[in-house]
Amino acid sequence: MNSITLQLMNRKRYLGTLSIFFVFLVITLIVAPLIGPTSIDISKALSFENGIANNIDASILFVARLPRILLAALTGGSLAVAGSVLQALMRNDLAAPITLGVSSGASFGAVLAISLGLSFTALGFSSIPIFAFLGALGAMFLVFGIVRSRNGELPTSMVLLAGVTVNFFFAAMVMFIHYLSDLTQSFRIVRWLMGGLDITDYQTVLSICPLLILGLGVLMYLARDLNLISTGAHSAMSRGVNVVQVQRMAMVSAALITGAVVATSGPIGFIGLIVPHIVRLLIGPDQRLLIPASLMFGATFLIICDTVARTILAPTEIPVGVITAMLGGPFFIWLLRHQR
Amino acid sequence: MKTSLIDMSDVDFSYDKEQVIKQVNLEIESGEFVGIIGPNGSGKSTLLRLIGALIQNQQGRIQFKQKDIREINKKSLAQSIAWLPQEVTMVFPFKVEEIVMMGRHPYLSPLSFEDGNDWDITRRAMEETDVISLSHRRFNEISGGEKQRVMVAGALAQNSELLLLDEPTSSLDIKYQLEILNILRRLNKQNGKTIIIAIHDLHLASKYCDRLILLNEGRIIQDGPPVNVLRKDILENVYGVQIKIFQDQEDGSIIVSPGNA
Repeated sequence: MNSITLQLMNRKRYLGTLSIFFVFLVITLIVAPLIGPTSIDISKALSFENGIANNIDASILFVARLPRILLAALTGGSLAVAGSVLQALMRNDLAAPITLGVSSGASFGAVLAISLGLSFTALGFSSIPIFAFLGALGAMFLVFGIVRSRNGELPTSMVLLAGVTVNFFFAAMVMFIHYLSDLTQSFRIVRWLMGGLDITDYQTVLSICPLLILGLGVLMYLARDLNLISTGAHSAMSRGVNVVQVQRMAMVSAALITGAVVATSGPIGFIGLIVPHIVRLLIGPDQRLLIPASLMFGATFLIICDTVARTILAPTEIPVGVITAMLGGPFFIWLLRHQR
Repeated sequence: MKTSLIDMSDVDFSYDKEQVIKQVNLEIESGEFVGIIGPNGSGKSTLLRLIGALIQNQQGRIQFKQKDIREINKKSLAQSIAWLPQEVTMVFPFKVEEIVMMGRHPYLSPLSFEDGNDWDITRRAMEETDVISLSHRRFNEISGGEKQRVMVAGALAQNSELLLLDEPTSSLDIKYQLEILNILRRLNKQNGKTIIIAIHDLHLASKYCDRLILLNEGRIIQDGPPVNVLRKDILENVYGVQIKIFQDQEDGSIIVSPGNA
C-alpha cells in the first residue's frame, strides 16, 4: 500500500511535457515555410546580397509564407486556449468560441467596423481587432447573462443552448449588415468572412501580439483557479477561489484572444472545440499544463492544416477551415476510441 | 474550555422571492459533531452553504470566531472551513490524487507548484480515508462511496478545523454510509475536527451526532442532544407521518420506524 507513489505535477514533469509540444512546434515552424506550390532554394533565400525585393526565393519565404505561418500559429494557439478555458469555465465539453457565440460576436464586431468605415490604425493597433474583441465580449456576457444563476453556479445544461442562440443572433446581424452595405463594403465583408490566413503581413501579426500576450498571461495566472472552477463553483468557492471575479477575468481574456485572432483570420471553428480535447486526452485536464500545451498544439495543428490547404490542390487554395475539420475530425474520433 | 466557532443570529436567506432560511439563531462550538436533519426542502443544504459563506444571507449576522464571515479573506476562510457537496460530478478526467491535491489551493499562490509539504499532506489525507490505492484512478471511474472518501480526503488536505458535509451518505448503501460516518467520527474524536453534517437517516444521525438540529420550512424546530430532538410528537408534526420510536439497548441511539403502515 505504502509503495504507491503519487504522480502529481512537479516542475520536472511540467517542463518535460511542454518541451515535447515545443519541439513539435519548432519543427513545424521550420518545415512549413519550405513547403509550397513553388519550390524555393533555401541557400538563395537566405543570402541577403540583393535585398529581399530582388530575391524571389527570399520574397516567397519571408513575405508570402512566413507571416502567414506565424498568423496561423497565433490563430490556432489562441483559439485552442480559448476553447480550453471556456470548457473549464462553463464545465461543458462542448463549450468553445464557436458554440458559445463568441466567434460570431467577434465577426459581428469586425463586420460592423468594416461597414461603418471604422477600420483605422491608431498607435499601431488596428481598430478591427478591438471591435472584434468588443463583439466577442458582448456575446460572452450575453451567454453568461442568459444562464447566470445565483452565486456563480452555472446551470451547464443551459450554457450551450444560450451559446447557440447567441451564435445565431450575431450571425443574423452579420447577414443583415452585409445585406445593407454597398458593393465595395460587401466585397470586403465577404472577403473577411471567408476567413483564411492568406492576406497578411508582419504588421498585422505584430499588431495582435500585445492583445494575445495580455490575454494568455491572465489566463495562465488563473490556471489553478480554473481547475477548481471546473469541479464546481461552490466547491471552488469553498477552497478559497473568488469564483465570480475569476469568471469575469477569464471571460474577458478569452474574448480578447478570440477577438484578436478572429479579426485577422476570420472564424475558424473546429480548433477551439477539438484541440483542447485532443490535448486533454494526451496530458490530462490540468489547466496549468493544458493552456500552454493547447497553445502550442493549436499552433502546430493550424500551421499543418494551412500548409495542406495551400498545397494540396495548388495553385487553388482550399479554405483552411475545411482542412481543420477534415484532418482533425477523424483524428479526434480515433483518439477518443483508443484512450486507455 | 470550548470556543465558539460559528455564531448565527437572526439569519434570513431567500432565493429570489422564496425565503428558505427564517430567523435562524445558532451557535456551534469547537469539537462538536452536529447533525442537521429535516424534511426535503427544509433548508439543510442552504444552512450549510451559509455557514461556508458560499451564499450570502440578506438579514442577520454570521460570525466565524467572532468575526463577520463576509469580512474574512476567502483563502483564509478556506483554510478554516471545508465544504463537501452531496454529489460530485467531474466534467474532466481528473485523477483522484489531483482532486485531493486541490484541497491545498488555499495555501498556494498563483503560478506556483505544490511543494514536498503539500505532497506529504495529500498523501497522509489519502491514507487517513483509505483512498491511497486509488490515487492514479480517474475520479469519474470510482464508486460513489469511494468518491465521498476522496472528497473527505480533499477536505483533510485543506486542513480546516470545520467540516461541512451536505448529505454525504444519502446515495450510498449501508456499508459505505458507515464507512464515511466512522471516518468522520474518528476525525472528530481523534483529530478534534468540528463536523456539521446534513443527514436524512435519523437513526444514523442519532448514533453518530452529539447534537441534532431539526429544521422545518427554514426554521429551527428543535436543537439539542438526539434524545431531545427525535421525539415522537415533534417528528410526527414536522414530517407529517405516523411514527414509532425505539431506543437501541446497547448504545442508546434512537430508531425511528413507520407508525401504522
